Amino acid sequence: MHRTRQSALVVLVALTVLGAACTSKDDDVSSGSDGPATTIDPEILGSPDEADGEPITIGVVTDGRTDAIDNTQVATGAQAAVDYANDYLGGINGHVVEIETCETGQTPSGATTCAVEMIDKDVDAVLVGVLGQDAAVFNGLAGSGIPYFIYATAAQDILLKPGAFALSNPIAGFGAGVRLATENDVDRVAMAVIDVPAASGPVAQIATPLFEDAGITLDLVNVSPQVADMTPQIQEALSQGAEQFELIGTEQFIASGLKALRQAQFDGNVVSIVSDISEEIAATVPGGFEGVLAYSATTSDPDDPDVQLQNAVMAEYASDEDNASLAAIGYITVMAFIAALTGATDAVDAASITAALSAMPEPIPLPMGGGITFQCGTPPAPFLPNVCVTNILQTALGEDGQPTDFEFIDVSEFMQFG
Amino acid sequence: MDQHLIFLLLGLANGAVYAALALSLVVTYRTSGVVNFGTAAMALLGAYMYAFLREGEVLLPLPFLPKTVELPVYLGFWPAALIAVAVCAAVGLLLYVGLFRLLRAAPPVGKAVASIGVMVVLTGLFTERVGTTAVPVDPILPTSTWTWGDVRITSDRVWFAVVIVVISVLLAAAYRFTMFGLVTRAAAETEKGAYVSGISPDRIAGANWMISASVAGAAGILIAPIVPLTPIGYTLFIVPALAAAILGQFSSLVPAVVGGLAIGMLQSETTYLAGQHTWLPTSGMNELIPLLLILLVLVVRARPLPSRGVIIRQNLGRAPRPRSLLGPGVVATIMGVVAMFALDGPWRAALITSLIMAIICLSSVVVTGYAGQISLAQLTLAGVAGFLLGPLTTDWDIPFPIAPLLAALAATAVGVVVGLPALRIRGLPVAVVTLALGVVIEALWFHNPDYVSVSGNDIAGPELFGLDLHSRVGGEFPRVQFGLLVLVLVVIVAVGVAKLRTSRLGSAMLAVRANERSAAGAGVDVVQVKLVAFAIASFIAGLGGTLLGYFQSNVTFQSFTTLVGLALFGTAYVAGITSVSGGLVGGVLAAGGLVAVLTEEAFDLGEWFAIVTGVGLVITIVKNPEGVVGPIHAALARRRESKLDEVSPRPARSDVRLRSEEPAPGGEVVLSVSDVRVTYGGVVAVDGADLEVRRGTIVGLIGPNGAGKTTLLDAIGGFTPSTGTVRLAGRDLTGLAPHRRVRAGLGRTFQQMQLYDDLTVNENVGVGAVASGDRAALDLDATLALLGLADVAERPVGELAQGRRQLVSIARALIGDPEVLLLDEPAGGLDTRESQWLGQQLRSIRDSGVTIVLIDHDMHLVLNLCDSISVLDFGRVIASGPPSAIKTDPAVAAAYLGATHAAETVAP
Repeated sequence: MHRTRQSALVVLVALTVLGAACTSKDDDVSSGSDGPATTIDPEILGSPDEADGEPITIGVVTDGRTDAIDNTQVATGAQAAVDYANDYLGGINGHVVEIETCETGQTPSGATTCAVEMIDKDVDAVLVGVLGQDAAVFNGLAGSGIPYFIYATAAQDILLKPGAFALSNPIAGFGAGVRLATENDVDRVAMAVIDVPAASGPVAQIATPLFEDAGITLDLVNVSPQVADMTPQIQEALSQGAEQFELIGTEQFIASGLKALRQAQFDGNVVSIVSDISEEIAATVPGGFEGVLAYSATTSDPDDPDVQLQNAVMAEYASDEDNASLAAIGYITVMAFIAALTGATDAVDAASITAALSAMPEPIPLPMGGGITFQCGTPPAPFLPNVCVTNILQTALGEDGQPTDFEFIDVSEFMQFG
Repeated sequence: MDQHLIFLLLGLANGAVYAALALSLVVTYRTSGVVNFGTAAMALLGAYMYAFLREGEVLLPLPFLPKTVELPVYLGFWPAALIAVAVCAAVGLLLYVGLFRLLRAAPPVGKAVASIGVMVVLTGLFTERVGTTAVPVDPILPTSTWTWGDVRITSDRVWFAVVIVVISVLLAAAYRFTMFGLVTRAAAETEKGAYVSGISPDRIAGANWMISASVAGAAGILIAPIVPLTPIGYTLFIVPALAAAILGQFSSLVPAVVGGLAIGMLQSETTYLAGQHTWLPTSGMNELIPLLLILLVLVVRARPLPSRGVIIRQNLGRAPRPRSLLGPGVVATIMGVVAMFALDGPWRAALITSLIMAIICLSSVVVTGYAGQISLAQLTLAGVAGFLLGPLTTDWDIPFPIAPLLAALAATAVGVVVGLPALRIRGLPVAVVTLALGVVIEALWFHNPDYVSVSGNDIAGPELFGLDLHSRVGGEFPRVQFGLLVLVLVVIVAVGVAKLRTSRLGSAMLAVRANERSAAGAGVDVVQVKLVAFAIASFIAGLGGTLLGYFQSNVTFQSFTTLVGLALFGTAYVAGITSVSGGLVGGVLAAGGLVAVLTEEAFDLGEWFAIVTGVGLVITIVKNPEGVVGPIHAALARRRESKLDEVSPRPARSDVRLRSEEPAPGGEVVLSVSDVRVTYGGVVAVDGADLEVRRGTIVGLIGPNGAGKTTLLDAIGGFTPSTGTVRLAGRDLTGLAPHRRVRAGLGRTFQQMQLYDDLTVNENVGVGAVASGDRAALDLDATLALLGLADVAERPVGELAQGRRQLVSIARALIGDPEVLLLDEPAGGLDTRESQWLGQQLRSIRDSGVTIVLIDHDMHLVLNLCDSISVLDFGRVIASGPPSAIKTDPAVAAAYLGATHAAETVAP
């Protein structure tokens, strides 16, 4: 009973609003527990290069496992990445990477406690994948000088206050939606948004002006998470005459919305903010997810070398069962952190790491980014000072809700509105 | 087709979900008096069982067993559904036998809190077993699309609603027309009645628990294809479902189901309206609908939930009177200071969290523990202050002690609004209304990005006289300075709440908690006391909210959600909601507090933590209905009692004079009642009665049973609506509220005495002192001495014998210095000797200048004691005069002969 149920929604939404839940693990790429379906070439891991320098300690915070969500796998993926880096990448510029973990239990006091623990243990950086209490942990670190490196967030404090670095552009998905509408000469778009601040906030504050700036009317309908059947909301949004429909919420939310859209025989483009719908959920929608477009910050294309490397790392350093999309987020966060510091040999503690991250000299490929690059310190727009990424991938979902291909979408021209 | 009609139809599915859960809520409440917050979890059990059976697996939602057992076949709909429902029925029976049967005599809140425990345990088990990913379920009902113009509706939604309505009608018919239904209704009326007629109420209740659990399970199965099946998926539907159950008065099935459907349909219509009218808020309108409907029904109808006649009826736990504040206060404070310095890092954070939560628990102690108003919105009120603190400190730069006080005052204002419905309703409906209000405030404000940044509101401070009291400076967190600030506030609030308990206002609150009617009879302004209780509690909660804000230097909705608030209320209740010590223990037990961190560190419970907490909650409720601190208070009370027994009782002193002026028997008319008429529906209870009472006399009011004697007293006292006029000492009292009449000098006792068993004799009588209004109250000791109660002044009234209790109720009426004392059967339950002695006491009261009007069946007492007697029959005064004349009045004899068996009582 001592849990904040609704904060779970924030995690899910942070995952989804930002097009972050992307790294699907279907049976082709990761061997299931029932047998070695794929063989992973150990060559992919490269040649060993063990780290032996003074350690750099990173803290990894998750919400733990509660009755609302379990994101502990972020820590599993992070740990695998750290182990791999220490064995094959020479850690961070030769420094051994050590890891301290903490779970918030999804309560603000738990988040504050984690922040305190990170300060107490004198970590050099805090790395977070997706976290219900992301802002609380960040604010808990305020004044400590410890950099906060996060995969995806919608929290304004993290996006705006100094000391944080975000690997996903929280409005790239909106930009891509504008681009899609523009390409199809659509002048009215409807959006159903799950009514939690992490989703409704960015949509109200950013999506509306972004669309309006491109001459497109946006009809918003907020759907409370307490709504069992969202048909009325979908019908309401449609009654205004929209020709493109975007669904912003959890995968269940999107499935419910899509069901209602199919009933209404909506024939425009449907955009899902989640790019990998579990097959069971997809099966509950008549006709499945065929033709639904989705945005994603990273790729899960099994032919992508980064994806193959991640699979190999997880196979080597964690169990197969651990290789879920949340684990991939932990993995990406650590690998991006290491990549960002590679070459910055004087980055050895909180202050110097912050300095190095704040002034990355050039854009470098985002691990599993499918062509997306990141450069912290060079934001996509002045109002997103802490965001390291501009663009996003687009994919068309199959009937089973899984992504088919990934296409790089340049949304930089839509980042300069207002 | 009209758009409004279409949108009403589109809301059917949501409505059916609420209706289905409401159905189960009503069946449970009707048969066992439990408002079952675990209903949604029970629905979830049915849904999970069903979903796994369809996949050819049996889910084992118990620890240490394999998660599932494979079946050789995938089950079809009917076998899977029937097995799932049967499992629910079995679990329902288990819950009754193992838990709620033991709580039969517990207060309704206790049962509700136990059901919250059940909810927590079930949800925790599902999480541990199934995980948080949704389990998909194929459609059960036909899913063709029906088209009206350009709007399409899927048929399964409509069929779902139809099925629920059919189930409710069938159930209602079964309860109406079968023998089992009859027996159930009989047992619901009175358990005693069931015992007398040879039926085991246990069996009936057990069977009904099985039925309600089956209904919930069936509802869960039907909901599953529409709502994603996750461990917490259904929990949030409890608020609209409760609203629907209230629409059915928690007793009628069909109205509850119709109410549920109506809520869903109106929500859908609101969605349409919100799209048409941009000035409507984009967030929170859905939550507003259940609240508005509840308010409409409760406030307009203003009837309490039908309470069940249980043999043992217990109130909330005793609210023990704190004896000495100084000793325990100083010890606790020193402990707090030492702990604040000794602990560091996460432990100090846990200590501070505990202290802040203790403040919010103390707010529950005031409003629920003292005043008896179950408010589930205390954490929301804390949130109101917390959310205001941001703008106050950052936008307006208001300095430290003023900003949190302003924020707390704003919470007070909101709290009074939250408390307004409680003026017209009592008991658990208050809880439901406050819960619904909390949900609305959360959705309209805390969630709403129009008012709150996605990262929450930042808070600056606190600083005082250049002293930096921030919870964090650089890497130093949490700082001792801030911890001490919190500790100081906890001490102030705790002492304040303890002082409140011993104050006159506190006594008035306990009086309201015990019995609003008798509190009004003692001159307490019930409305005012309730609102003041809500105000004080909201202020305290607001202070807690501001401290939480300062502690985190930022607030988001996550700290103040309704569900967390519900959990905190449960914690406060389990700790002991009626005492300051309970409030403090509540803080220690609360989320993020010392116990939570300790168990997490010591046992690493992980996902089992929630389950263990829930089980602990349930066990505590069963073992200690008065909360964790209950046994300690009981032990202390026993020690005191054994000391008291050593004091030898002092004899009553009948020579005590309360008033200096000489009695004036047969003086001017002090109370004049003319043409008073009371009707209940079509029945005339008092039919134009006239009565004149002269100062310094004792007037007896007699008449056969049902003659309207008590009703006439009620009409005189303003307890029942009436026509006609009532004048006291020349002042027209017509139309005044009861407590105003009492303050004008009209004292009153009740047939059932309506004493406050928790309170001591002193306190009980003290409550009456407010009745003196502007006049000075009589001296407490002298009043007790007059009635021979001095030796038991410090005893709780619950421990006294019947005769003594009668005297306490008279003393309570007397101390307000009434002109006229209205006594309803003061000799009820007394033996002849006691009755004679009472007569003497009443005479000495009259001699002290108080006029008395009394009703009694003891003719001997009446005829010997009264100076004048009025006889009532069929609501009319048929004779008045001195006892000698009444004895021989033929009309009186006829009235009594006409009645069943009272002839001899008139002519002894």
